[in-house]
Amino acid sequence: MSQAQENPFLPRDTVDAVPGPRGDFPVSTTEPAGTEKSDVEGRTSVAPAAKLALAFLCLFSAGTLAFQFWGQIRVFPGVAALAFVVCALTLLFGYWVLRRIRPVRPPAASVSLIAVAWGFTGAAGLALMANNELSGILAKLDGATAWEAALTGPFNEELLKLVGIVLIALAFPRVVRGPVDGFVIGALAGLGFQGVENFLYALISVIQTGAVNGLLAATLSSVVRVLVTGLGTHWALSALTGTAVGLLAASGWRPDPRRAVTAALLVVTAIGLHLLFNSPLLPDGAGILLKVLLNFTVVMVLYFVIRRSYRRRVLAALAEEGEKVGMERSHALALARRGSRRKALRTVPESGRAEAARRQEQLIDAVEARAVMRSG
Amino acid sequence: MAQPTESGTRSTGRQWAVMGVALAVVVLLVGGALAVNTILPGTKPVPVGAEVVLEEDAQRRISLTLAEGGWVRDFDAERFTNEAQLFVRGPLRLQVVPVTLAGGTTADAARLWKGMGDILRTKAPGTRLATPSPITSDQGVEGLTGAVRGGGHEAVAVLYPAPDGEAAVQMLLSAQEHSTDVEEVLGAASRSVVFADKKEDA
Repeated sequence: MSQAQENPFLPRDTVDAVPGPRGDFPVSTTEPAGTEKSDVEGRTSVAPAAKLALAFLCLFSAGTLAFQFWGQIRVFPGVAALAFVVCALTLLFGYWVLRRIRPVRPPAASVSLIAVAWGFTGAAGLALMANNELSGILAKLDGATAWEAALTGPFNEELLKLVGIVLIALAFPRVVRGPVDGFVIGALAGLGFQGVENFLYALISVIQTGAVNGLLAATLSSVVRVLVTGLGTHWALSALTGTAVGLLAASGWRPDPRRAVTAALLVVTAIGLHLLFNSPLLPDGAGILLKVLLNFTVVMVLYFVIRRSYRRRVLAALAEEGEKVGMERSHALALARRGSRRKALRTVPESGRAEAARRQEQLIDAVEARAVMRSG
Repeated sequence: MAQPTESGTRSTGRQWAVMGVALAVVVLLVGGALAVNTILPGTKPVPVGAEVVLEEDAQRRISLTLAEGGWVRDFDAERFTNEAQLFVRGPLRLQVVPVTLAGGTTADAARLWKGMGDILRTKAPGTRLATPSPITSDQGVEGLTGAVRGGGHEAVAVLYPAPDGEAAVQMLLSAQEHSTDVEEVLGAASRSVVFADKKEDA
């Protein structure tokens, strides 16, 4: 027995295979989070097709965006560089915060990056095309110009971001297993969308202001979009729709009526909040701030509700799993927190730390799989 | 070899159905909107002497009057412009863009003329604005006009800064046929630009 196994905060043995989310086959806890199991032989898994669809749509949309905005980047390289730096800093900060807020542990880095990439390319490029066409239709129908942004973006952007979150959930079923996962992956997709939108709006602001002082125009645009409205825009709205996807994924895409209605309400709420945000109602500074705070409050209430529910299930599962591997209840429950797990590992001599960390991960895998099972 | 179970097959079938719905949403939102937009008529006649509002907000109202008949607004071609309104009359193409300067700053006509040249280059790298000459609108606003070089067709640009210097109107008239006198046509249309200051009116 290694010294690592003597630590009261660490499991002495790995657990057996535990059930995966509903609709999936049992999965082994030795598999790291972030990798999906292949289906039973003889059936075609949807995961590779979903990955292919994600890759194709991201590449196609990235090409569309580059084609449309390359001229502005070429003529205004200083503005593009400034906007890029602001965009990169926003993405880095948002990526860190949003992965950090997932209870127990962050989602797999690879899938988190795919979510951001979807928002940054796939969703943004498709939304740009859809918004242009819908705006054209409204113009031809003499639609009210002041409501154009409210009648285009909310429907196209929320639904197209949602499509990517659904594809990610299908491509990586071990990562998006419930509402908490959906919330974080959705928020990351929204963050990517917000990042590229901020970048493109900075470029567009130069054109809209006559290219007289491009750096000032881009700075003002970025400051408002990052520091003022950034608190309650795309990341928040996609967290709502992502939670809806998580609810459906947790039921194996076969939700009962209550779950289906809740998911639908979350999507409608996201579209509704976006519509209000884009509408000409409350157009002044205080009004915009009110809309931002409304979005932020709604998404925070949702976050704390699903976080509390998930943590409760995780703690119950930890108590059970801890008992199986001979851990004291208080020590097992402490493993729900990142800090406690790190602290426990620090007490292990360096030679056994890697092995201890591996077993800790296995226990958390098992616990989270069990917590997902309880969510039904 | 593991055999697929009935519930497992159903689960996979549902996942394929979900993916199908997701991709159908993409087709519907992008392709559907494109199809409807294509089907709807792309142009709309502008009544003779009609006032065309270019921009209206709490600060100001900028408008233009197309006194000569035969102009149509080309909505389909507007998709490929920098948020311009585009009017077409036979071989003539008139593109009008209102701009508002950032953060309440102001700029003179020369600075705005240079900016307009930069904006034109975002769409066509070889485009250059010639040295401008003065032009005065019917309202008495002093602007600049000059030829557009390297755009492929004969074209003339006109720029009017708003009296307060915080906004401007950029106009570009091009002709598919070299025989058309673009300067004369543009002169008539551009001189009708009117800036109404709502702050003063209030």
